[in-house]
Amino acid sequence: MERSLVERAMRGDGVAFDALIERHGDHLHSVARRILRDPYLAEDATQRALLDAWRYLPTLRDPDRFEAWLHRLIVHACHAEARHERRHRTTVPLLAIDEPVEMDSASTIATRQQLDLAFRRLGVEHRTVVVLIHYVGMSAIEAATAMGTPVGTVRSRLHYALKHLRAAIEADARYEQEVGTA
Amino acid sequence: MTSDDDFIGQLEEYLETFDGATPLPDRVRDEVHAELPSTRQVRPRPGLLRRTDLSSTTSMIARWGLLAACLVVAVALGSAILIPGRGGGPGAAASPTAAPTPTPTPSSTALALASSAPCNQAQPSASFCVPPGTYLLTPTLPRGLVDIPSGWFEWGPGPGTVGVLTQEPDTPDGSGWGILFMQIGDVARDPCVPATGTHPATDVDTPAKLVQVMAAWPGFDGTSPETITVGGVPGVRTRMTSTKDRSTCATSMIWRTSAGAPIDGYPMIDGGGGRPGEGYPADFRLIQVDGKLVAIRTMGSARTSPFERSWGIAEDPKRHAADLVTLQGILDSIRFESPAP
Repeated sequence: MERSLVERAMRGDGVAFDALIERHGDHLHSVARRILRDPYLAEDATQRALLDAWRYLPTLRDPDRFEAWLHRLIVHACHAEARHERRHRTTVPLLAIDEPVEMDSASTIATRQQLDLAFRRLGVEHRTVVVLIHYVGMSAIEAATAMGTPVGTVRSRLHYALKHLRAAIEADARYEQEVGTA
Repeated sequence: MTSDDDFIGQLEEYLETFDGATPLPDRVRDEVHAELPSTRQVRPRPGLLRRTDLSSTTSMIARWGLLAACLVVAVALGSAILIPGRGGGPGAAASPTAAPTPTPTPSSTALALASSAPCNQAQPSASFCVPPGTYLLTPTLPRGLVDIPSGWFEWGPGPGTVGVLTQEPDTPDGSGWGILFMQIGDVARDPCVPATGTHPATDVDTPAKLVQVMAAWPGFDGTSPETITVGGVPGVRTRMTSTKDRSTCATSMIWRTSAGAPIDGYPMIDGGGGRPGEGYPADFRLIQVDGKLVAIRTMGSARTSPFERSWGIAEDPKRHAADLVTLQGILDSIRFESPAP
């Protein structure tokens, strides 16, 4: 079914492409929201990725790999939007917000707010690898394909992203404990 | 401190719930729909230079590299044919034996652009290792060449680094055990206290100066610098350990590469699950090539690596005993192309 739609869209069938948007649009937008952490940038990235999909569909060699191909397009579009945003924001660091956060006093388990804050502090490339592996559920090899980078780069980015997330959360926790006991 | 499983579970729950449902906005759907009629589809071009689809794992750089390699080969063949006395063309003198050439050939690939090959027979899904062969280490180690055996995959934590790690059959995601080349930029005064700042690269521009700075890092111990050569280039070697762990050094940075990538204190201060004072040793070989200061960091023990322990692999003092031998072979294979005239 999916393959049939892809093959029709590859031949220029707009109705088939609309059906593919219905199938994959929500997911692509969700991925973009998580990578970019900005609703407007995510909308632009999703639109860019869908138009690129239409434009380059005839060059897709294996219609069964359509979904993996879409992931690569959305990652590419997200990074393009992030680069564009950086060029136009010279004084405010992209997605960097520093404010005190609530700590779960009953344990050292990170609160959702801490995770959100730590996740915002990651660079877009590091957020991408975290989203692809821990949200989309890709393997490192699949993520490497989606990102167009060597597998080793994916592994190192994931390693450092998780390490920085943990470190940021633990630093926040220590700060809260120090403030709480002062 | 949360366990790795708890942390990953929390992270995945956070990503799953995020800002609630985020369906594709109607605005995007409508605008895409409106633009389709005026957006021409790209048709594949026939022949060698047919546009590669975006699902290919080959990067654009690699594709241009392939094209460049083809051109180099074409030029070399053309030269061999057209220039009498060179190569094996019609005008060349017959040679009874083809002498092996110790210097690199134009076909040597940059390690960072290596293609993929199966890592080991016991793990069919692990097909991300580099094919065994000779690889260029440039630009991280200028003019450097190295021989990589089978079972190792390319890994680097950022720009200005390149390296290889072993892939073991019982780990799904690498080993954290291998060799890393880093071109040095600014160097931390105290790797565990970012507020103390860094020594500018211009102040730490020789192996002797760098090893002196490393010896002064609080909470780190380094052996006395030993004079060595790497591929004929003189340098110094020191073995570093640390009494720090993640509770006392949560965010470490020993230096930045010349390209600005921060390098942490793995494996010295990462206890693989927060164990205090593991003291995993790292060997640093420091050399200077073409004015660039380069550190070669290798794992200094055959023990299970901190990264492997973080995956639940049991401690084994001889886990990497064979890898240590192979690693020495990799180090011994390092040599340098002649400087450009």
